[in-house]
Amino acid sequence: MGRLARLLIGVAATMALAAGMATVPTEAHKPITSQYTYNEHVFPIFRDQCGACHVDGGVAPMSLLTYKDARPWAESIREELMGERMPPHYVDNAGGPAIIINGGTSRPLTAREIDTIIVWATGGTPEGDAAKRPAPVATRLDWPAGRPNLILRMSAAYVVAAGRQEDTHEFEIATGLTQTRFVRAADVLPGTPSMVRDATIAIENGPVLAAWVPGDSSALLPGAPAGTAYRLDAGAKLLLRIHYKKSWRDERTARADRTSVGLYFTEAPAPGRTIQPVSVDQAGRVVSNAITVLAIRPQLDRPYASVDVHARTPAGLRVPLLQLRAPRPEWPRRYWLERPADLPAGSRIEITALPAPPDPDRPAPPASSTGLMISLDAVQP
Amino acid sequence: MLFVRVALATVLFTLSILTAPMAAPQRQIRGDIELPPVSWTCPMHPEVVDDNAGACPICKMALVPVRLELDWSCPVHTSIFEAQEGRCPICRRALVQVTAAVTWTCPDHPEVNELNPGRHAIDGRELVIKRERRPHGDHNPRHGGLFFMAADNTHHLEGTYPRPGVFRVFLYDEFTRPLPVRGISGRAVTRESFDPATHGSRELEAFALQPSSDGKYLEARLGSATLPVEVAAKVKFDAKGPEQRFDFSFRAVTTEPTPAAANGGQPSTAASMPMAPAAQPLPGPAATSATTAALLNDLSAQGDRVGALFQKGTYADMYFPALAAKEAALALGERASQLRQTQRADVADAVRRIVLAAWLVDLYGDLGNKPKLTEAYQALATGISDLKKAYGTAR
Repeated sequence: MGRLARLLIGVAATMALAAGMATVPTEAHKPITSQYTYNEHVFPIFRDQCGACHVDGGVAPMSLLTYKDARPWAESIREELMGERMPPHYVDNAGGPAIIINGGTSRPLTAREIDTIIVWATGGTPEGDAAKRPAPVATRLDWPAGRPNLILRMSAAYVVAAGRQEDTHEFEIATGLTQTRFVRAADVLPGTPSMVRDATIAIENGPVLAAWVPGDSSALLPGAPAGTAYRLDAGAKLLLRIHYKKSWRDERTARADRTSVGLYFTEAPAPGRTIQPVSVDQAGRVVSNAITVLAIRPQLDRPYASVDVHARTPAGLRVPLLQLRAPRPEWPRRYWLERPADLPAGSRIEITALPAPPDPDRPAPPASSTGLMISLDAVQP
Repeated sequence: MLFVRVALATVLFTLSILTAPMAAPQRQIRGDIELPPVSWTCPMHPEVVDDNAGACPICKMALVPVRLELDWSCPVHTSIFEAQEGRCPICRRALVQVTAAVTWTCPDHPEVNELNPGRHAIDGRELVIKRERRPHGDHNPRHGGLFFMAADNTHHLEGTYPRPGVFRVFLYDEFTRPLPVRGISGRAVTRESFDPATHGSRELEAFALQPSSDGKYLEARLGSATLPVEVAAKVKFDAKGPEQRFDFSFRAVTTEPTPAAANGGQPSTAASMPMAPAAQPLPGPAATSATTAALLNDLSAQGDRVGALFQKGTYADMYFPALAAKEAALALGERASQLRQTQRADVADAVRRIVLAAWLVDLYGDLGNKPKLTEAYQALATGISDLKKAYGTAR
């Protein structure tokens, strides 16, 4: 037999910890084959790439930011990484257009980072030099992109009852604006981070301003490129739709949340440069006017093996817009193109999507009835 | 369940690594000389082995300390324990690696089992070392075939191809003691179609596995007698349990090891597969001084090696060149700054795929799951080819 066990070394101990059993440190002879240690090599990756959710009080079911918290999950971490399920980044860079994810602060792991974690997880999960033990990390409770121009808080706390684990609710938020403003980015600051799983901010009868998932801060995005913006009329209302999912620790407890929306304003753009949504379903869509695509927001009804959004110009040119690998509906993001794509009038937007094979270990949420939808954010060229 | 499976698998390998550095000649375990390290195990569930004291995750009993070491033992004369590879002093068979529990006992009071050397508390006699085989301490084939452990952690299974068209399955318990095959049902699947979209397969040709008249093995007469032969044993260990799959690949007819053959003859193809892991270190990071051309050569060579082992059917050995290819790829990924931006994206993507595929080859090579291994191997081969292409050296 090859290396299965080497792969799984240390799991016995870690699972015992996971089961909440007291373990007494004895003479350490843990077979350590990993040249990487938690303190020196693994923790910085967890902190920077996983820590927005996997932090004490975060929305993920477990913190990875202390050795004690992370070690019991080493085997699960290995499985998630090798199955490319975590971290939840789905952009397929090879062949697809360049995509900006969260201004570069949240990104897929590099091959070296993936390898470092797997070597650590399978090689005895060493902690490393105690002197290099990282300082505790706390949940962030401020606006990552700086103070917004306008902060709108939910008018009252919303309670997810003791018996419910998940809940989706739409809140109406009056802006109180007396004049038209232009929005370049919108962000969400969860009141109770451990239960705010994802959120969208839309203008009532208007475009979606932000598709927020934990770990991303939409305001860090270059977002709407200079000279473009979303128009927010005086007296407009925002619709904040929040998907709540309580931590397993809070399953039997009622938990309340009062989330805030932050808006970042910009100058009024030139005529035609106000961002308009363009909806496309799987049948595709021909755009009658020339448009410049700034961003693509897929609304997945189920897990897919791949999603490919592209346009075909009347001249027959194929313009790639977005390629996703194994995307899951639990991570509804908006993807901003590094370079906006100009499409001439009469271009046809096409979606090629291959549903993911059923995975018994990972049941999909109930499929939505609308099917796969893609929303483009576009301006006139 | 995961825990048990994992813990079981861990036992043997943990030991192999623990003791690997000490497998050198220093055998005299006495007094101050280095003792095998202490592990903690459950009196009722020997498959549970932990680094620390605590409770058994299955039955909650307190774990007890045990010293484990890796030894060389005879497949037949199981009381033989040697520090080094060699031949059985009784029958001259080649010794195989096994895991043994080491205790000290009194020559007059065999019930004594002490963790450390010393003297018997009552009669004052000096204690003597005692070695006993551990469950899962021996994953060596007995009939020259290919050996796998089932996911239930109890059954072990060896497949042989003793003559053209004949496929046999032998069953063992966790001490590699033969088990009767009555009541075990299964079939040998020689052809199936695999649908990557659904990850399902459809059997196109299967033959019943029938118990032999002496109940020592299951046998299927396959439709064809040409070599190499690929056959998946699908076996149910009990009527209610799930069906488990074991993929075998034979390039030649397997031969029953005999003392005479072991004494001088070449081991059979399958028996040459090291079941107990040799003390082979994992491939380390590629030298930073290596030239890009050298790394690309190494990448190709390791990829070829993985392919050759795959073709040969020695799946459990594929991990080593796969992980070595991964190291070369990672080094190449880190020197991509010399390339154009578009090339860099392709390099990063190929390296990521190689890293993931290499670890999957490692995993599925051990489990003997051929469809999964095939996917992983193909992903690795594609990644290697794409990485070479991105470097502009597709050769």
